[in-house]
Amino acid sequence: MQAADAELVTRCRNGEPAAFEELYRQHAGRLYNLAYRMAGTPADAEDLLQEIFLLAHRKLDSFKGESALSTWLYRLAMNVCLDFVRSRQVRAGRLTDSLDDDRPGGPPAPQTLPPDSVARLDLERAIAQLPDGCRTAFLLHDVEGLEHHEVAAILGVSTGTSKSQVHKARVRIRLFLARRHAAVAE
Amino acid sequence: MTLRPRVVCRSVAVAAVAGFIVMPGAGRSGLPGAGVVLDAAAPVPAGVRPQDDQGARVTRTIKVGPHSSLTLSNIAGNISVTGGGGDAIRIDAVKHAGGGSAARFNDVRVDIAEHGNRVEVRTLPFGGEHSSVDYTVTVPADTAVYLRSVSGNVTVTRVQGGVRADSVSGNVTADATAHLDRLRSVSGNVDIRGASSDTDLATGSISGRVTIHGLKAQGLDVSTISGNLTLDGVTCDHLTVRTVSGEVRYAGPLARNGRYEVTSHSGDVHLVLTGDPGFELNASSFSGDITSQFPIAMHDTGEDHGRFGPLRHAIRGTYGDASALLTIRTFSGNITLRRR
Amino acid sequence: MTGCERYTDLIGDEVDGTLDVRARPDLEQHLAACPSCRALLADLRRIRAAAGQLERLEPPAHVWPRLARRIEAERATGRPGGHRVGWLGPAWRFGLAAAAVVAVAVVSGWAVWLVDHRGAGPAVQTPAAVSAAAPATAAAGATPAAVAGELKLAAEHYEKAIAGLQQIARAGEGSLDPKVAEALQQNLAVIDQAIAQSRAALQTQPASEPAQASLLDAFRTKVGLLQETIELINEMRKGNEAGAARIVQGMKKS
Repeated sequence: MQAADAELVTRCRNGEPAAFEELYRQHAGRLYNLAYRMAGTPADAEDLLQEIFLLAHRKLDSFKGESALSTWLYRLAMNVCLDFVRSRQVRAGRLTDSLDDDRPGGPPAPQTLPPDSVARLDLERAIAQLPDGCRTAFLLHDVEGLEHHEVAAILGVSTGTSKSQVHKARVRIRLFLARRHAAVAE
Repeated sequence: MTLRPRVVCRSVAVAAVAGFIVMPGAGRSGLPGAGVVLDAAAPVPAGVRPQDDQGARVTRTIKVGPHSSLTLSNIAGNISVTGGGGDAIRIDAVKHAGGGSAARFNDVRVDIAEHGNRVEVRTLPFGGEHSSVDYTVTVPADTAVYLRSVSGNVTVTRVQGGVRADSVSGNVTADATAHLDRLRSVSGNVDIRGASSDTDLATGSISGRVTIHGLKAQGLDVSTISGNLTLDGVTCDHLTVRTVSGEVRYAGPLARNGRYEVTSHSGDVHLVLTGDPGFELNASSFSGDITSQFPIAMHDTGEDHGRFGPLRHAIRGTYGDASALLTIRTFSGNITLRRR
Repeated sequence: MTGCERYTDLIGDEVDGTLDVRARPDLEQHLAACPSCRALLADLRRIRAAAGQLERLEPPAHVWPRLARRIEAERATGRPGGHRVGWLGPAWRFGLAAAAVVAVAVVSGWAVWLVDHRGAGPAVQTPAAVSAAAPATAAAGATPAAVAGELKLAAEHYEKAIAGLQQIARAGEGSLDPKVAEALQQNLAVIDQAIAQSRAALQTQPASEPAQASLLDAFRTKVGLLQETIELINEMRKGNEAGAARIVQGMKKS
């Protein structure tokens, strides 16, 4: 753990009032964006952000500096987000998967995506429909800009898994965007 | 405490069912009479001509490229798909005449459509006594299969390209398959042996039991209402098990940093852990007993919950390196943890 | 496209900008000959670039002050350091929220309502706050009475949703095979028993978290089963529609 982080954590543990606010200011932006893209709405993201920092505050004592502070926070945040997403999924919701939905194993498209198909809103939608497993990796790597080894540390998987999950997410997004564009064009 | 529900835009599909069909259901005899009202928008597949006599057996071999897919929906009758070598999908459909007089093989029609690398097979009913169709299919190993049956069993063996299988009252069995995605039955059993999934697998039954022997997946979601659940030799990063009255048995290792969540109402939960597990345990029950062979360092008292220590209804503590997270909740079911 | 799978990893690395120098000639040779992989690489690059450009949202300004208040309240109850959040913490809270979401969505698409207990009630000093068995209620502003009240609200919403779903399910049951309908009914009965038991438990021990959780779980499960039943009914109907089309086709021709 970086020296600056270590100092901040110590100050927080000592109960210094401004310290935790500093921690919040440094990390809230990133964690809020993560929560937003996991949960889907700003309101839920707000609730999650509160939970994340509350949990961080409670667990700070048990943080031993075995990883960077941001990695520790990301991991905590990811767990909170995943718990939320899963408790929100009513089981039968999965039955709505029809047999014709995205099948990433299909033959690859020979031509590239049309110029205007990677629009921001479409991409947000594409991300929202990714399965949890690869969405988390994609958000951390491509959206948050973390390296694969960091993503792996956060998710508790190997670097190889991180790479394959990110690739899988990208491919699924590509398929989603291609279909969406085709549907719109009709 | 904030409680802010937001409207979730998930359509309960019922409202969308437009046309209204009055039709002889499965098992009832008689030709459709004046009572049939048709939703004119229902699609008619190309090339279906009831006058053609398919006879009692339909076989077809279709050459496909890599990463092909097979979609098969059946009503009554079994589906068996086996992956192997080769570059063709071979379909062998055998009709069995419904109860009663002469064999009326035109009561059902096997409709096979090819769209490039995608093969779609459907059993089309034509009313009257329901004949059943048994499908035996072989596919190249990397084919993805999507199978649906109403009252027949579905068995998938050695398919590597992706598997989704649903039955209503039949059993669903997956053997030595990879890339499992989803296996469900309503009243039938689900059996998984020697399989894997590269992401999350959702499986379950309502009243049937679920038995998994040897599965490697990232995430596993298993649920029943009253059926028992047996998980033996399952490796996954996160596991969610839900049942109301079924008994849950988990035997195997815990993945480091794995997250395991088991929820039951009255069914007992038994964990038999192999290897050298380290876990954080949050176990609670309203009236069931919680016993653990592993000494748990309790959070609140700091004491060790001894091997055959006092019975408690809530345990929060750690064992070993506390790397895995176990969350087990029941209402009246007993919870036991022991070593193999 | 045999052989392209070999290049999946390399393409991924190239998109990431971390392609091993020694592997580059191999990849470039393949790309020169494979329009499909060229297209894939181009698209994945665009996706990654676009992802990095996604809107960066700022957390609203009011989040910190509220958070600070809750932290203060926690400090005030003297929670020992290193005390881990019980499992009943966040997940349970979202369980309540999720319950209401399902209920509202299913019954009708109306009102987004807000129940905010933060202003109500004194700061938490109840015995429950220091008991290890009830960490959720130690959250600022949530007295056992408030929690019981929210549970009651959630239960009401669930029951409304369930009633609506049950009506729909009953109306369509004829489309199902009688044995399947029976199996579904039996399992609904199993869940109803679980609901009754949880309720009875809450009569005697209203603050029991396991009992609260069991009740919510049972409600959720019931909603799930009813939705599954309805999906099944729809599937049967869809199949029947397709079959009826065939019949009428046949009738027209004869």
